[in-house]
Amino acid sequence: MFVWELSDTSANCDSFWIRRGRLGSDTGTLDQTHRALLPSYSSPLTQSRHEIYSPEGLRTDGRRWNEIRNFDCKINTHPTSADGSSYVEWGHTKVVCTVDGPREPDNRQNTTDRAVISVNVNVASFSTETRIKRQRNDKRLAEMNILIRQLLEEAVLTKLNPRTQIAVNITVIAQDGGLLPACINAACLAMIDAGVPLTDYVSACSSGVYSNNALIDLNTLEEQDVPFLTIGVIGKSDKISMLTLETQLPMASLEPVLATSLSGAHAIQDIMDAAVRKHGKHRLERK
Amino acid sequence: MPFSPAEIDYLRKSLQATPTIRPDAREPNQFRPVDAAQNFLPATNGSARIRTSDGGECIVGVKAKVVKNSSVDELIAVEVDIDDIRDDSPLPKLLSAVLQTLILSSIDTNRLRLTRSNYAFKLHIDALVLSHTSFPLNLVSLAIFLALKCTRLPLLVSSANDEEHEEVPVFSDDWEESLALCGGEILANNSGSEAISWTPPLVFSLAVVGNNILVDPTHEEESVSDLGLIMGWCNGQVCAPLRIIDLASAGGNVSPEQLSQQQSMLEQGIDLNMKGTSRKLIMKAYSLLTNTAPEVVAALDATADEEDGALF
Amino acid sequence: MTDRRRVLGPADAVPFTLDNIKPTEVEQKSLDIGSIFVKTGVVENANGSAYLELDDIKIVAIVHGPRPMRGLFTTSAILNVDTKFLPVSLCDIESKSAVVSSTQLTQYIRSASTTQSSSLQKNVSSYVHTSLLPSILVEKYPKSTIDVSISVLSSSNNTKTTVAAAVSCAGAALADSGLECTDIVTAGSVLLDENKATVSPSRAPTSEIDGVVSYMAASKKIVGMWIEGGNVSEKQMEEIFDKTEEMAREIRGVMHGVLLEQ
Repeated sequence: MFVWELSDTSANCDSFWIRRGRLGSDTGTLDQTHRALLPSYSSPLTQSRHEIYSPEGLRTDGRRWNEIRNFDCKINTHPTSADGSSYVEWGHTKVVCTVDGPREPDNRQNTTDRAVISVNVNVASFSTETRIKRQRNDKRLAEMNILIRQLLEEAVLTKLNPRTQIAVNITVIAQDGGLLPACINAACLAMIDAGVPLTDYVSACSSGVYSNNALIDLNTLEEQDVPFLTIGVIGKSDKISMLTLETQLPMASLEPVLATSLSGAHAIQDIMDAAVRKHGKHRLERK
Repeated sequence: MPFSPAEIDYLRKSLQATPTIRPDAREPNQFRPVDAAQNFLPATNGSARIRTSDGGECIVGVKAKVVKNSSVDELIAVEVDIDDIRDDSPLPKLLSAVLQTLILSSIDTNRLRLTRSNYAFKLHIDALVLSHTSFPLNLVSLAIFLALKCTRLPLLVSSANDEEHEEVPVFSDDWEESLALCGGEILANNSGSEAISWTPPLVFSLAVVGNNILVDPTHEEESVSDLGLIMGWCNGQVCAPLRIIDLASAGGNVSPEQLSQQQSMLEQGIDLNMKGTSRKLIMKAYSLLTNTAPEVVAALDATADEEDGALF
Repeated sequence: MTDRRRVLGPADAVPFTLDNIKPTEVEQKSLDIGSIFVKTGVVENANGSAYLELDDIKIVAIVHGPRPMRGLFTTSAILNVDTKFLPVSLCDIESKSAVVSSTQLTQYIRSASTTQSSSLQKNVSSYVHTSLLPSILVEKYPKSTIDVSISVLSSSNNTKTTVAAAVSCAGAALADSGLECTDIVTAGSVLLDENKATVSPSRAPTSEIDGVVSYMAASKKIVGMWIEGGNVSEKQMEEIFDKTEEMAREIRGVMHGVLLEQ
């Protein structure tokens, strides 16, 4: 039996209530869950009291099924060291992105008619709760690089800048679920800041399903327990440009999950657009 | 970025002059302003970020892990990761080695002790250099200083005396009860000695050009330097490690462009090779640092005391 | 039952253990740098080579160069230094303790015999590189490399003394190789504790200051410095420089004698 109602799949910010609150705010539930995610040296048994989706409709961090985490973004954060830069904080996931380009390519072989985009994701050892020393040839990161690059190649008008290279460097300093979507969103904003020509905003969002309830924007605890997928979209269309699914998702839940994540991605685009316009206004006023 | 012979000549002549003329008109003992932020990563025990005005950026995260039966030498592990450079190349290894010996020789390891014989905290200090133009040692050292200053360790609630019965350490869930690594309380709790606070050490790289010593050298100044000096600062005095490095080739990494531009230099009679120095100059650097470093520490301390939290 | 799969040896054979091998602690006079022996030209098919003994330390340095370099054109020679601590070098110099147990020794031998060079070897290589570079006229050898290989056959408990010996040996090998140099590099090491300064120390430091400083003695220049161990006062710096300079000069003296003979 479905608890939620799928009525509106189109992007409409009003259908989502985005919980706003800074880290460690006074909101009771937010504060408790914030502390629970700090390095906890108590026994792992405490984790069992978190229910992925309680009967009242609340998740582990107090959100409802259709609420994304606090998405905060800033562009032009590194004016001197990169052509374009952005910083995204999505819940506890914090990602810095810098874009260098279009510039002289390292090798001219495959760039004669278009720009070549290279993506490099760098995950800090201290980004997760337990410290993990990153391996040099981490397959998961290599795959993430390829996914982000392919998505960006769809959106970037590469033919306008032949024989050039655009290098995207993403550094993850904290992760708490939704790493791939956060990286994609940050990359889009940094591209805009760099002035790389794009057809439209590129955004991504993840969503999963837990006992027939679709859940949007999963954090680490939920990603470990729940099958989920991540989609990437360009513009506000219903066409999906990137989809990754690494777990097993029941067929019946596929459509609701896709619809949920699409709406999430569209909502993110509105937030990103607001941040870009704000920065633009600031630049114009400053002269 | 390679320099033309004219630029090299100009830089060398002005830097060797008495008094020295630096391209940005700084005094020989003047540091450039940096942008600092700290304590913005709740998943770490301590975090800090330093941004220099030439576009260098370094983020440091400190994480503590409970270890058993570990020797004192292994309680601090520093790893420097420089973007674009492989982890096993000379530069990151040099930085990690220098910083690790520095911090290990400066900290009283009783701060990390949990139980008398078995358990202790091991601090993993990871520095991520996101971008740099000059030799990143200063940058990383400042960031590590700030990160250690705001590092907090959870409070032990189980018994510290485990000589008879072995006890797995249990900590308080309330983060408000955590203890600052640099504070006095943690030392008093663990070793029973007085509650003295600890100022983390710093390490500086100085450029030697002719008879002049320059503090906080920029990329241009480094590439025309005779050599570089690494000097540590701890407890209000100059301390080890004290080393001479080849700054012009960035501690071992020479790019092909840098190598290939030397021909025209040679024709102009400009000598680029690393030179020796004299004892007098090293002692001059020593006294320069003695006069300047306390101000740096004071400035960093003032930053540390401010309101922390957001990165931007 | 006889074990046919293994060659057991005679009936009274006993398995070999390293328990009965301990490094000897030698009483050191504070001004005595120990006995030195230097010989150049020990390897025939190299451009230059030298063998140096300093008390227990035995080092061979080989110089190949200038070797032509394919590819990139460079106006100066590139100096490459590679250091190898042979598994046979008996003491566990990576740990701070002076007494070596058999387990430590086996571990060290295992780790030293892997193909990846340890961080100590890299550190020593980079120090020797920094020390040798100012003495060589690299501009005279464009598009070439100068390769220096240092093999430590036996080392001392004190890393810095071994490094000082390595630099001096490499300096002698360079002199033997006939490459154009402005000076010969030698180095001295010292251990400072509260009472005295020991030159060319043979025991590992626990918390004292120890260091190695490389000199080009004729031009009176310092070309390398590696000091560790905590706070260093100005007076201590002066003392370090004094003592290491003395040691470097003595080694230089011995080297002069050897080079003039050959």
